[in-house]
Amino acid sequence: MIAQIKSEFKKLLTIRSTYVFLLFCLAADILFAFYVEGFRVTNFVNDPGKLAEQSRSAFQSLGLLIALVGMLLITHEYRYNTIMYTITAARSRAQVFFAKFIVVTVFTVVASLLFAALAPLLTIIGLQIHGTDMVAQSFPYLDILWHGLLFSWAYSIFALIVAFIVRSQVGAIVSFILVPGIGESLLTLLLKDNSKYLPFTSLNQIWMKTDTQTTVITVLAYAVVGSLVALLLFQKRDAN
Amino acid sequence: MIVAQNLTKHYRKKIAVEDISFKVETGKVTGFLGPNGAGKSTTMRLMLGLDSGQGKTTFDDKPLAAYTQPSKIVGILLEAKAFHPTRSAQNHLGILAAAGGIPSSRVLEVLDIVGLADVAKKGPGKFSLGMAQRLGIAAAILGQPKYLLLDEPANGLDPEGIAWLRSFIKDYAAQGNAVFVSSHLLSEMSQMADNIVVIGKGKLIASTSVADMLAGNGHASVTVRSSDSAKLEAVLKQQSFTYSKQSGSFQVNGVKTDDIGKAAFTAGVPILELAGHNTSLEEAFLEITSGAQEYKAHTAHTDSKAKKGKS
Repeated sequence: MIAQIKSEFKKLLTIRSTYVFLLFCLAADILFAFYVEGFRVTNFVNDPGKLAEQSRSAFQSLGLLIALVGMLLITHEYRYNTIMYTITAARSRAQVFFAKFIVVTVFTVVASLLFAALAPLLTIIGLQIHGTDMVAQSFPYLDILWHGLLFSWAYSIFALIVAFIVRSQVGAIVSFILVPGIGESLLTLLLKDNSKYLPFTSLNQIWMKTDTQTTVITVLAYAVVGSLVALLLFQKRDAN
Repeated sequence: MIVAQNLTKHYRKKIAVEDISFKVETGKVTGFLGPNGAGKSTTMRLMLGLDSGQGKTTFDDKPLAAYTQPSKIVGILLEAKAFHPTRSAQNHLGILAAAGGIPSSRVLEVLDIVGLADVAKKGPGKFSLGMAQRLGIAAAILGQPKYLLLDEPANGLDPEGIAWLRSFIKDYAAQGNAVFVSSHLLSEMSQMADNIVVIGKGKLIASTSVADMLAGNGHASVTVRSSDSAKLEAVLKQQSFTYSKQSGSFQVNGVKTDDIGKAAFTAGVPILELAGHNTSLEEAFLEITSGAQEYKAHTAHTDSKAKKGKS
């Protein structure tokens, strides 16, 4: 299992797309946190929650890009047929599945923490360069941390589940973008209040202050059940 | 030894592979032949557990999943271009080495063995088919496995590459390993394989040694000439051999030189010439797989007739 985890980390770190997505994340942080919210806009300098908001925004807006990196870790295997090497090198397919699960989790936690921490720092730097001081800031670390990490992790695990089920790179990315955008929007019209139980809708509600317990349970239920379905399909289906 | 037993795979109503059993012996090269669509790749994938199906395959009496480091037991090459195009050849092999618990120092060794050391840091996306095959072979031998499963490894190789591959495979098997290799290059196969497994339309047609396959083929013949043709003919008749007369000699079908030599010696017939004419592997292959071809092309002759018929 350790060998599989090492191998998956190497896969993640020896591919250009990982760095391209990380650069996009950095560029987004610089553009929005440093330039738009820091250097250019000084309207909100009296907002004591400004820096906390930058951190939350980073978790929320960069979650998709970080999740796509994890998704490519699976879909590339099918696209380039390296899945046959991956499976035959391991004792079981379950080992491969859990190795990918662990690597996606670690990558998501590290990357989202990095950019969520970077965003308020860049805003401070932007304001400093502009020559503006902010009012004293309130920064609820723990609250932002657990909401942010749960959001990013669940988003990446949803992406991993979609990737294992769909397998085709284009199909998986399109599904991952269309399902929450169009699919759940249409279902919301039907389900009305109950739409909070839909996977991506509940995921976005993590940031709401209401009914947190139900939201967390719903998100975790989707992550666990979805992972089990993905694992089952990964074990049963032909590796191509 | 690899033992494949009752391998079966169906795609809905279509039979891909049905009840195939054979053995791959250590110290030998076993060729895997079959017409296009016969089920060779599916059989290999079933052996490795990549496809779901019935039957089982053991490697030294144990299934592959029973080994803690399967990469050190079986090396595979099922598809030439199975790599990410922008990840360097060295990193590609480094990932496989990490997954198989193989020291990373082995990566440069195998790249050197297959002649790709100079392009180790390059992305294989622009590799020629021959270079991609060499990278695939490097991946297969990374863990110095006892067994190699190679699907069409000679595809895209230049003549020098094919000669290298032939000697590499023979040497690898001679070191006490087993190589199971499929190929469409029958002349190559006849030069390197000791045993042959032939399938057609998903079913096993033959599993035998190359020598027996060639000798057992109806086209194998022996030319024999004697100073006493009448007496020699009597011996051939007595032994119920099938023969035809040719200016001063006899051509005897479906026998070995040993059989005729012994019979003539026992009867006291002087022999002036005794020569065996083995059929080529291609002839033997075409004969035993006739009727087992999934996809058959028309000859130019029948094609032109068909066109005439239409017009």
